[in-house]
Amino acid sequence: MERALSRSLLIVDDELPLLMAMKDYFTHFAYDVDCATELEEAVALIEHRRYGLLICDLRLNGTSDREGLNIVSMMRQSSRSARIVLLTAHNSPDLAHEASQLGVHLLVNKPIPLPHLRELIESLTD
Amino acid sequence: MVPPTHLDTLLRPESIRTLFQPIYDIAGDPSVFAFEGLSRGPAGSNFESPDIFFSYARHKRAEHLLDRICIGLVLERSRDLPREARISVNVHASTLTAGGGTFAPFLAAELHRAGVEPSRLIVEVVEHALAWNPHDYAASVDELRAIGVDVALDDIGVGLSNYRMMIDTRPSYLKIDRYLVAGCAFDSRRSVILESIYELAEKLAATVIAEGIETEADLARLRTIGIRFVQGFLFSPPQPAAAFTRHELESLRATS
Repeated sequence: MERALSRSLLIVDDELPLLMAMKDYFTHFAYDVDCATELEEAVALIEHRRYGLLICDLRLNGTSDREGLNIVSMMRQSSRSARIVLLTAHNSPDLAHEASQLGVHLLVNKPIPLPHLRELIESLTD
Repeated sequence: MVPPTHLDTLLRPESIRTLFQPIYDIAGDPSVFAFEGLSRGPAGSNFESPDIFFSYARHKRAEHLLDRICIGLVLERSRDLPREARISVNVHASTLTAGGGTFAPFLAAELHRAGVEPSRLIVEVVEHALAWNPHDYAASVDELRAIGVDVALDDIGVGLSNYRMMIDTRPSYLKIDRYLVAGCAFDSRRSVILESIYELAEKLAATVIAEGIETEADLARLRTIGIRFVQGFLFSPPQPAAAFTRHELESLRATS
């Protein structure tokens, strides 16, 4: 994957303070970051822009408690090579299996310190 | 990005910016033929991009509502533009049919409210999704013509602006997408397709408008083909109506 695309990051989370913290943190480390707080906003971004990396919370403030999986699925349709990280506070073996089937590279338990998250992500993209 | 509950926020008039980009008649000295009204979400947000703005609304099942709000704002905010120039607005094909025959009356009411003569208006129809009712579509377009506005088919050459849409829309204007225009001076394939569309338009009694002109070379090629109406950054970027001062407008007419 070309470098510019591999640093192109979409972060989806409905917790605005956490989202802003992640945006600032990854921007500082030279990622080109877009943010979304809703399923539909994330889908619109994925339709019109290219990303090399997605960090997405499983549960957003919508009608489903699995909107993150919809976004993952959309990202996978849009890009076969994008690296995908799913954040959740509700991990389970079933979820891990389903996420893996959809092409999630990492299923990460929340909360996670941002430096640790970055290490995990960079191990994926190296 | 803007805070959560985007949709309610985004549909407020104060959230929607209206810009106008002139369309020029280059038959003689270039002069402004029309101003296309373009809608954008809040600056600095994801919705500043119209693609993302309207795609988001579509996924929220609010695209038709957004279309109507944006058209109302374009008409209202076009008041300071010279009345000799025409105004064009964009609408999705699905919006024309979604309201069960209510779009044309809505548009007539908005024109009246804004004090814009129907004969000044060009409605540019576009569609990005296969989600409208083709049976009602042609009737909806006829209803638009019945209130006295002209109809254009936008994005010719890309997406769903295809031959079927030309037949069903019977447009007065074919607006060629920038993808075919940008670089046409040095790309024989683009040039050949532009010539072909121009000839097709002549046979359909439609007028071609080319958008996305950014270089003198492309402009010269379009002139050679015979295309009379053009739009693009070479002439003017989209900007708020207030940014076009009277002095600038007069000079735009005289020179450009």
